[in-house]
Amino acid sequence: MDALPEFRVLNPTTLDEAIAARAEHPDSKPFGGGTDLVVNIRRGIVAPPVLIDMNRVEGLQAIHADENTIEIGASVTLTALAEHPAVVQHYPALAQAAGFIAGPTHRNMGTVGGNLCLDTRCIFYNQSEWWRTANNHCLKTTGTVCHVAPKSLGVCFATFSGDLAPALLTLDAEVDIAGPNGRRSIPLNKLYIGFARQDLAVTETQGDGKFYLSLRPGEIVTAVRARNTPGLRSAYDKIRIRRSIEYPVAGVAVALRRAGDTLADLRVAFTGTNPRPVLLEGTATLCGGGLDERVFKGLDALVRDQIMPMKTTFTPGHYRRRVAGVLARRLLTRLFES
Amino acid sequence: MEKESGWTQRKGKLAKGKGLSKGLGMACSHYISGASKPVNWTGEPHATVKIKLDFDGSIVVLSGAADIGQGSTTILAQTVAEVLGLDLSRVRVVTGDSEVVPKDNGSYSSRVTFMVGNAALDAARNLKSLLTAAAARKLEARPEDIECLGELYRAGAQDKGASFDEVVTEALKDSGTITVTGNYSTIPESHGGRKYRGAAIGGTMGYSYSARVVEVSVDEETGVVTVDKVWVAHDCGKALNRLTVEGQVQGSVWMGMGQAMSEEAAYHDGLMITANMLDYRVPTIQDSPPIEVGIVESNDPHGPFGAKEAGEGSLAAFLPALTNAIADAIGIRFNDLPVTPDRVFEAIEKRKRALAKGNGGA
Repeated sequence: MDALPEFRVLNPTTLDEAIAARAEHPDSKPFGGGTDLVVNIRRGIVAPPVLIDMNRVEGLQAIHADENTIEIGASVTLTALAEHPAVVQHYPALAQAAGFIAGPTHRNMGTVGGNLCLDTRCIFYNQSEWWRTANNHCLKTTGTVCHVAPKSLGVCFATFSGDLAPALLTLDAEVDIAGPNGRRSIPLNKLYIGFARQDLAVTETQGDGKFYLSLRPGEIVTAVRARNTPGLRSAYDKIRIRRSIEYPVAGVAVALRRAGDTLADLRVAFTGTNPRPVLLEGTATLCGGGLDERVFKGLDALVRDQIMPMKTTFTPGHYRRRVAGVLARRLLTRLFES
Repeated sequence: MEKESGWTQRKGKLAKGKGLSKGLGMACSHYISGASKPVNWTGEPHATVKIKLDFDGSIVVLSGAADIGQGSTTILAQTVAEVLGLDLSRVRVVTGDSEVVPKDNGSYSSRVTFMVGNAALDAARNLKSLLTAAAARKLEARPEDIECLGELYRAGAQDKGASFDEVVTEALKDSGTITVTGNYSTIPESHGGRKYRGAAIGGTMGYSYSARVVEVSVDEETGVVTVDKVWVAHDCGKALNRLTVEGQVQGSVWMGMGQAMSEEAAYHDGLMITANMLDYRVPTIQDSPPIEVGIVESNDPHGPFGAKEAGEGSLAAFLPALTNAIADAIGIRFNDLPVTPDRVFEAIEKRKRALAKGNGGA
């Protein structure tokens, strides 16, 4: 393979142009910073003949945020999001998540849309061309076996590692999507379909590590929106082996409301563990009382049931699940007591 | 270092408990200033440096020594300028281009300042002899009466002497451009015979010594180890350039952190999994603790101007100092590296299980 294969870069300036370009070139890829995509192209993992630069598309670069609502264009850089005063003030988990991604140069280039749609990762996938060839490729590319779970019957377990998604999931965010058949908005939670269920065929709502987004052919994420809840406290934290230029070993966003001594509302979301960012289901059952052992035990049980890291990273899966639980407990305590 | 780190008062007494436990660890190491046995067995010198002097007074030092960031090019320029008594700006160093420079064995085993530095010293002295002889001719004096002041050569304090440029002109009168050679060879006694144990590559002309204290915080719930501070004392002989010595020692801390805490060569069916800069986790500046560098000078009889190595010597001590600090913090000693968070976590879990089992049996 070449160090970098041939490709054309298109520079649409309107969303209609971008969508038309996507329709005209079905194998194209839209990109923001290219901090993930270009690495994958260099490794021969993907070879899109056409790249669509989304940075000059008008209307995708703005952040509108106040204490009530937030709307972020897909081409907003991670640095801009992390440093936006209203985001820092009213949506701290989101600002923290953006500020912790990779290194400063990545954040200057990387975009919100790119991070939300970040390709899933796996030690058998994010390798060089010759490495994957020597290992007989894998399900996520052209192979027939998932090396993480060789008996998985066609299910890919590559892990979602974007940092922004969990913070936005705890806000019940919606994404705006544009495509050849018009525009639509869906809950962010419905964008991620990497359930990796072994008993179900991959469909538009049930995917895996390979089919991890519910985007239809030619569709592009254009913005993400959320409403704030008065009194909501939120924070994001993650485990990394080193403190920069690193995907999360496990990342957690927690948002809660406290009414007197009562935990009134709790939302917990994870990244770096499953083929999708996981908004923990069942946290409502933990609310209504104080922050006691029942809550912590219940939280542990929910994590145990829903967070399932596989051997997709160099760091063992059981460790990732355990520390994801530890971080969630810590954030919960810190936010409740703050 | 013991004093700086508060070792006596603080060792074993730092905060412990659920959550964050702190600890101090110390270790010492020594290292070779280059392996004395040459990698080539042809009998040629261990290091060779050439110096070219041209009509305009330009001095070009030619060396094959690769400056991989350790500052060896600076050391060569300093060495030649020091011998000739000239300002550093008079000296230019050309390295790395094997079409032009003499072969060098390489930047390995912390040999360059010692071996190539000595060769540069030899070359500079040879050039100085030629210039002194030329000055003697010009000033109609005996060579042994010539005093070299760098920009001025004179025959005694009353002599108004000749400038460096005039001496160069005299030196080049018959021969044109001058090129001198300097060599360095280790003495056979330093090669280490069969009785020499513990070093496959043999002995050295000069050993450096290093000591280190590492302070850590261990998060017992996540296994994350944070290096809070590092104190280093390094005996590099005469420090030829304190700034580069300090930089080298700081680099050795980061290199040691990588080896001890995050860098790992792992394989799947013979294929290296971590063969990239993302998964082979070299520490970043974000991971760097404050580093206190203490340069302990001595005068090595064989080193250039008394210098020894300041490269890998202070790397080795980081590893045991770190594991000692972790042992001080949580009472668990790690013999396998790197000590990654999942390994610390697993060891703590294992101890919990063993304790639970022990209590259950009692």
